[in-house]
Amino acid sequence: MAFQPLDPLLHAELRLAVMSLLIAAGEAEFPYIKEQTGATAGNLSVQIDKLSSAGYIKVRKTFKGKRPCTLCRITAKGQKAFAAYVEALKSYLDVKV
Amino acid sequence: MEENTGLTAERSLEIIAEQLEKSRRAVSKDTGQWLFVTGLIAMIMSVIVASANLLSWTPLFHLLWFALPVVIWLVMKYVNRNRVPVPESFVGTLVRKTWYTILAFSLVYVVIATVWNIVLQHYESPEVFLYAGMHITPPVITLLAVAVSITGLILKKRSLVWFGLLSFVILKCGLFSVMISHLLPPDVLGRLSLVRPCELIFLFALVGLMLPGWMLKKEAPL
Repeated sequence: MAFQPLDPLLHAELRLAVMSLLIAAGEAEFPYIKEQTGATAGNLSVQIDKLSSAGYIKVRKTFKGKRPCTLCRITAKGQKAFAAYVEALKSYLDVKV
Repeated sequence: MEENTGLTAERSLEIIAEQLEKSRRAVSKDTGQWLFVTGLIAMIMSVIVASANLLSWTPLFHLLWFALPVVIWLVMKYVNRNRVPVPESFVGTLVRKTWYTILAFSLVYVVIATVWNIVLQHYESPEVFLYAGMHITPPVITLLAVAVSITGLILKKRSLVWFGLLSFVILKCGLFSVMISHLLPPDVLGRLSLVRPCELIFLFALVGLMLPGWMLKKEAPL
């Protein structure tokens, strides 16, 4: 069985963690993602920007009362990319089994 | 978590599984907080209602139970004021919808049964009231115990399923009431009839809500 190429954008620890979280939640606030992934705010911002530029997630800046609130939502394109990534992963694991 | 692109397939799967499990635990912890606070408030409320009824010699203070949902909502709002909200997930939605459905049924039942009992008491004889009056606490406790057990099944927490069953069995058997009636003299028992469902609500809040909630809250993070 041939190895399927892995999406380089998802094949990074933090970006994959963010996408996995958003697959489960659909939409989450920036502090929640930071708390769950254990990443620093700066690093997380950079990775979120990369995912957003690829159209995998949509970032919305809003307000919660008087406090600013950043919401990240997975897009249909992101869901498809994640499904394809998991499918590609299977080809690597099948060989070893 | 570092920017690491040299992942193995196994590590990638581990990350995905880890994050999904973290989401489930976040919902679990959130539910635990909710159950704990609800249980605690219900216990405090049952003490307040029982004391007020005993001191005033009327069962009127049972009407305070209608304020319970509002008190819980206000306290939860205060408790969660600085917490990062847990986003909606499939598991969270299932838990939330289960509780909303059961609470809606319970509330409607309590309102109907209360109105029915008041009308019956005013317009019918005591015999008719005894025969046709609606019990309020046991059906509501049954519904809530079912909700606790379903929550345990959704969150894959077997202890919660057992807490739900345990609270249901203990309270439905009336073991507590039988025990009290054997321990206390008849004159005190007569006075305690004003307190009646409060002791059951107190016990259910402890066994069915507060203890399982505390266990979920204390669950170690991944």
